[in-house]
Amino acid sequence: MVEKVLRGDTNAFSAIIKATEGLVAQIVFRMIANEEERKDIAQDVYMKAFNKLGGFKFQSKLSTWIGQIAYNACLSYLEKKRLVLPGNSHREDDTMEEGLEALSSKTDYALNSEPEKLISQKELSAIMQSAIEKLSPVYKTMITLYHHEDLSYEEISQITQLPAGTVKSYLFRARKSLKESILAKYKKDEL
Amino acid sequence: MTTKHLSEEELQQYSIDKSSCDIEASSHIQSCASCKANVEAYRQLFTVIHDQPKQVFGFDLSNLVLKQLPESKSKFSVNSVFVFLTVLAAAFSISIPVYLFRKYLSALFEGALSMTIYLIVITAIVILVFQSMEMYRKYQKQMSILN
Repeated sequence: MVEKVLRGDTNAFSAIIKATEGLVAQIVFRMIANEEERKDIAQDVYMKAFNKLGGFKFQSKLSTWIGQIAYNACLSYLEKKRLVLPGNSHREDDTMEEGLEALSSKTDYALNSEPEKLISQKELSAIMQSAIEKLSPVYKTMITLYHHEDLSYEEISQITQLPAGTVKSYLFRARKSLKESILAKYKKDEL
Repeated sequence: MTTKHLSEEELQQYSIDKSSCDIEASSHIQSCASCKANVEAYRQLFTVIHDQPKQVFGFDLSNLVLKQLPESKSKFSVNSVFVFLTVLAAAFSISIPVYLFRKYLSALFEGALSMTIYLIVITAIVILVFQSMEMYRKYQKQMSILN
């Protein structure tokens, strides 16, 4: 497919777009809030990919390579808008403890308690969606790539061009922050 | 069994891949309500994220991009012509001296032992075969990466 595009077959590029736009969408949606900007950035990503395709060295998956272009395009946009710094929302420890107790009592758990008292999956999904939105764009993207797209640390490292250790560390912090959101919700429900 | 609570990293690791944790950590989680609740919170979190609907663009991205791409290039691009001319020049530069010095060349080969000629030919064939195999292996590798 790559060779066809390089030989000048622009229609072959359409197949590449269709095969990779899912991953690009995950990155762009997580990093860019404005819908019009998303449209421009998505097009820009593929124009860059088309122009740089000759430099693709087959050292990674094509989707990962295009994902890297998408990530860099979004990052450049955020840097221009000065929106890239993580909003690390760590909550107070006592909230964590109380939330844990509440969840602990429910975890012992569905066996003893009534199902309707547990947070419904739908409700939890809404809480999570809102908690994910509060994360910084970089954390949001990493969480989505790892837990939604099932990419490995290595692949995320290639996309973000960060060392695998940094990716693990960012993911650790993002998961912790999200878990605190769940526990805070359990605590709130318990009160 | 350890009574010490698991670290946040261990809790995350256990929630992602239970089998990667040691037996001591696993048995602690079974008996510790706090750690169990933490693991449960992480598992709920991972399930919810994994099950979230996939984001999709609300427009035909392929169509928008293709409109902006340059027209398909003709089969004989400048690059192809350049490669063709280079090969032609190389062929001429080899064949002209061969034609001019053909008498000396034939005398050279007549003098050589037939065994030596066979050896050269076999060596050349072996090198060609190995190079072709290497090229094929490289091609297969690239294709597997793309897939």
